[in-house]
Amino acid sequence: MATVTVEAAHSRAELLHQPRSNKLGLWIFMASETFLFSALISARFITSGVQKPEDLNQALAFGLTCVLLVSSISAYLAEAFIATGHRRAFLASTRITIVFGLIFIGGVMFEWREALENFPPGTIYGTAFFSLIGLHAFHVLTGVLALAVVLNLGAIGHFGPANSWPVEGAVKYWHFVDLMWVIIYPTLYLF
Amino acid sequence: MADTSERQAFHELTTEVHGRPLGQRLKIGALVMVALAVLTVIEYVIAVEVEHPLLPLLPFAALKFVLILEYFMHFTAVLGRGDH
Repeated sequence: MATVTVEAAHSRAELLHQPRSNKLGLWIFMASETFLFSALISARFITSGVQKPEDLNQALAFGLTCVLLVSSISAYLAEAFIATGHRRAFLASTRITIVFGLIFIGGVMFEWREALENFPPGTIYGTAFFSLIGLHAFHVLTGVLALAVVLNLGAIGHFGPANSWPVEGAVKYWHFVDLMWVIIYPTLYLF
Repeated sequence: MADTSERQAFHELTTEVHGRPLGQRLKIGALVMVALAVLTVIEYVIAVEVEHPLLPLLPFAALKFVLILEYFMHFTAVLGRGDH
């Protein structure tokens, strides 16, 4: 009997502390990712200063930035809706976020085709460009996958006001991807 | 009595996000979105018009960074100071 009580107390303690541990783990993960992005961003300035090629597609980069910003607000809405039990609105917002993420990836692929001709990876700027954009696009892709997982689980009834952490985690990661783009965009296109 | 407090707790759970009503959350999200859009346009114009845009662009990029970190990622809530 006593063993059962101790076990019950342990599982209750785990339930109480798990969300905090999850959140802390996600923030530590994002901090470590920030170091990775910072290394490549600083490499861009060290290798090529503030020089940038004339034939950068500024209009496309501006469009991609807008796409990512809009996806951020739909992700924000998805988190808010599931936390208040509005499942259909959550599903719609998550779908919109995924679509914008895919549009972003499509835009990056189109941009790479142009960039390969104008400043290939062998050039100094090309190395920084393809490394940073590639790393970021990979994060966008994993963000889309994470959102697709919570979308599918949400569609079959998972998550709700009392259990919205998985959605919050995926959305936080999506905002992190957006956050990195806020620095990468001026680093590669504007400075 | 217990039933009333349970109902109250359920009501809060289903109408509040991070301790704020859903409507207020949505308003904050929309305002931040507009601010980010305006800052992005300003960045673009500076980059196109100014010859050496590094220094003029830094505050705008930093402001966008802080807005996302604070209002979309609820960073101060992690530190235990307030809840955005």
